[in-house]
Amino acid sequence: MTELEQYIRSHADEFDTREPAEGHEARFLARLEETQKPTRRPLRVVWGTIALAASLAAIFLTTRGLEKDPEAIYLAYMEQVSALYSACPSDAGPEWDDAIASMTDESIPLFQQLPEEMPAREKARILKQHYASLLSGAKQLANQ
Amino acid sequence: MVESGKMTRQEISAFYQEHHRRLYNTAWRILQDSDDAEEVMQDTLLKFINRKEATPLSGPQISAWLTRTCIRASIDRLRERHRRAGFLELYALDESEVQEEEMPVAGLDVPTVQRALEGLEEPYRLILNLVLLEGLDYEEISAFIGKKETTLRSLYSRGRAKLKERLIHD
Repeated sequence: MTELEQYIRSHADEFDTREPAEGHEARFLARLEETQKPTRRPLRVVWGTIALAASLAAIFLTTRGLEKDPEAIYLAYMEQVSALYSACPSDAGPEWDDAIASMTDESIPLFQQLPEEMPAREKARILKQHYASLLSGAKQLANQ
Repeated sequence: MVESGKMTRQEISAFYQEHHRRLYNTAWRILQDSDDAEEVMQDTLLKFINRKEATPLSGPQISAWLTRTCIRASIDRLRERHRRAGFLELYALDESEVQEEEMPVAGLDVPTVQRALEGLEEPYRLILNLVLLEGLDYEEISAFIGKKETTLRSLYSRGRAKLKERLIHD
């Protein structure tokens, strides 16, 4: 590494000199409120939506060949899981959250357990299979 | 340690104060636009706060998650912006030999280096920022950008030479 590279790396924090425009935190809090508004939809529609979302997620995770970044796959999985929670009707009770959690939560995500030296492509293959399998549980729940 | 999804308003405000500046600068360096950078920074924080994952993350894990999510979103937005031009194509194909000059750092200061970095053409600026300021390795950058590591290394070398050139002659 050259002296210049070392210089930049060792001063990296000092390059964070910009601040967003005035009122940024208020804009953020307004957006936060918007995202946390409860949504109420008829149960029948929600079941259908969940079945479709789970199917699409499973297809995405098993067939999409272009995505080889293990973290991106994990994040895509987490987004699908979040979507399942969001689709939960507000009157469904805690059993719903428990059911989704028991099917999808990992005490230590597989994403963090795979050895660092494993090639990204191999990690991606394992993660896709694993997360597609977890998500298929949600589909089975929807069909009960 | 913070568990998203269970944060109080005060915790959210403290969380925002702790991370917004770093993420805003990360996004700004990639996008060079204050509105876009603010939106990506806030999207990243909202994504974390609203996620439902049960596993608590440590401080460094949260920082790493936020930084990578922010970089990915910024690059996606940049890619969208340049969809028709071909992302990095023009510069990545330039394989001519790089003449690199010696560059003593004595007398340098951060604002000078920052100006020189920001004055570089976009692909060089992007790769130098990701390697030197965000601390990513080529494998990670390759996954974000979708280019081979060898192409990125070549782009980085050329960018470093151009940065030195600017610092010496401007």
